[in-house]
Amino acid sequence: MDIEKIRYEFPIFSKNSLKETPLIYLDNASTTHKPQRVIDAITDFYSFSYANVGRGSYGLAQEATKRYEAIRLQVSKFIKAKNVNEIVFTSGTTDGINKMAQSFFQAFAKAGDQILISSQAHHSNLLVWEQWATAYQLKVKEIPTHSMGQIDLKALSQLCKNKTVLVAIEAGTNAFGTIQPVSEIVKIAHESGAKVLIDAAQWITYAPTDVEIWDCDFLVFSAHKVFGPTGLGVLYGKSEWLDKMPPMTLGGGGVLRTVPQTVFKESPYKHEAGTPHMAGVLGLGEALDFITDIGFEQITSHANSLLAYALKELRNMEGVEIYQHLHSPALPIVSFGLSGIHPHDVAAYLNESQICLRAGHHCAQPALVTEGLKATLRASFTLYNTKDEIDELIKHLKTAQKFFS
Amino acid sequence: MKIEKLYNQRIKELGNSKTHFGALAHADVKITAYNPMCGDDFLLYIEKGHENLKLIRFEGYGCNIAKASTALLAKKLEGLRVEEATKCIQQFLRVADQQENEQPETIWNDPDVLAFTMARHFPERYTCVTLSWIALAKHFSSE
Ligand SMILES: Cc1ncc(COP(=O)(O)O)c(C=O)c1O
Repeated sequence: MDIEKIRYEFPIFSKNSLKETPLIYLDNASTTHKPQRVIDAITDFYSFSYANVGRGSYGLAQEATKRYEAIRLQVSKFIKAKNVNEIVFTSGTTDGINKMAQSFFQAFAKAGDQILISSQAHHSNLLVWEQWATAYQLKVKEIPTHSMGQIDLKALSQLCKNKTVLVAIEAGTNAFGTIQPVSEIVKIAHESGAKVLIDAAQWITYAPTDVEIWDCDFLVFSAHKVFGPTGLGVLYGKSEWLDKMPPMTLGGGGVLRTVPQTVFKESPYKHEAGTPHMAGVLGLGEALDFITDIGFEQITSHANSLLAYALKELRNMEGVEIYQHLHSPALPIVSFGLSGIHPHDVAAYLNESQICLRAGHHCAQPALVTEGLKATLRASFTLYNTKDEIDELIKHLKTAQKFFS
Repeated sequence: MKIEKLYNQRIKELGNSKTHFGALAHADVKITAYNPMCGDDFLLYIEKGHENLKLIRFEGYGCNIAKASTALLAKKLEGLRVEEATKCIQQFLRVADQQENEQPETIWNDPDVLAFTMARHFPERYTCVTLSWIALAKHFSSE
């Protein structure tokens, strides 16, 4: 993989490389930068091909609709969905979970049912369930995990003996990078009649996603974490469920007619009322092409080697605490701390050298609290990061230790 | 602006010192100062005297800047009456505020306080600098 060539495709890196202190961006678990081709796809649409989709019959609108729908197909292939109608565009992972929750409860939940979540949950995959559980008289339970935050499958089987309507977990966690045994979790859940929602927000850039192999019922991810635009996400749902679920949003575009009475479109259209983020969808299409052009074989192996290198270098330092990460494989995320120095102070110090690292609880407070932590430093890597950048990070972590001692 | 200016010697010393750190068994009020962005979380203890804030202590978890500014709060406001403390809080917030036109020295000429002037050049750290001060101001105004 020619990293220099890849980096050159990202204006933020190619422009910055001329500066004295180049940008070192290690917060990819939060969001990824955009290659020029994604930016171009979006501006080209606004500049030359813009019209609303699924509504007008004139040429421009037809063309826009065709391109929009082509990307729905592309997304379905990207995650190996059987059917293009299983893809609902949302405005992000959080939105996808929020959107599906109520509709799902109305279609499938009965008072007293339980929802199982992980102690590693991102707030997006926690609060929705907590809040709505009360309204629908459901119980939310945390699945016990092994020390690495990995779901304890035996405990899951045990919990599933009580009537479970949904198991909602992350394929990979954002605080510690733990990868969950998704196929096994789905199998156990299905044996008890529960459906499974996979939050693939972190997983999606790491390795190929195959909803058929996982056999999950729903899956969500955000475009902005796969080199695509903000404000766009994908909700995959098996057709048999999406068809049975009431519209997730109500309004124009989602109905066939309202007179003499309302007739909704088929899914996914009934779930997508309102003018969608068309430019974003085109940007996502380009982003997925960008990934496909490089290929996951290279992307995953690059991620693994960066993570291994970072862990090795951090372990060689004095006064570093690394959280989790005794097992592999894992997402290219490392959560750590410098003894006696607050993560925020370190992050501020690194910022001086244009090194972007996240400090805090990473929207997964329960995951940190389970580990007895309040905040960590988190370095997360992706295809444009290099070992040289990790060397720079280590060098500045060492001077930070001196500075704050 | 260099980071050394923000993390100056006085702030580092205040942040690392144990001054006013700890719980008060007989506190009359406990005030939480919490920053949801980073999870910094302090608990301020105030024991009231006849007319004043007799004792102020704090416990909790936070970055060097937030800890230093909380220690400073306890040091400077202890012994003051609520009206005086409220006035000091307003002055401190102005010292740290990038939008403020007045020279810091004319607002509050105190070496420890002036150590925080640098926050004017690091507006992203304004929340850390003012976390406990604003929490206390909110408490006073709700009393
Ligand atoms: C595991 C996980 N779930 C959900 C989200 C929320 O994604 P978004 O903010 O794009 O909705 C994130 C983002 O950090 C995440 O890492």
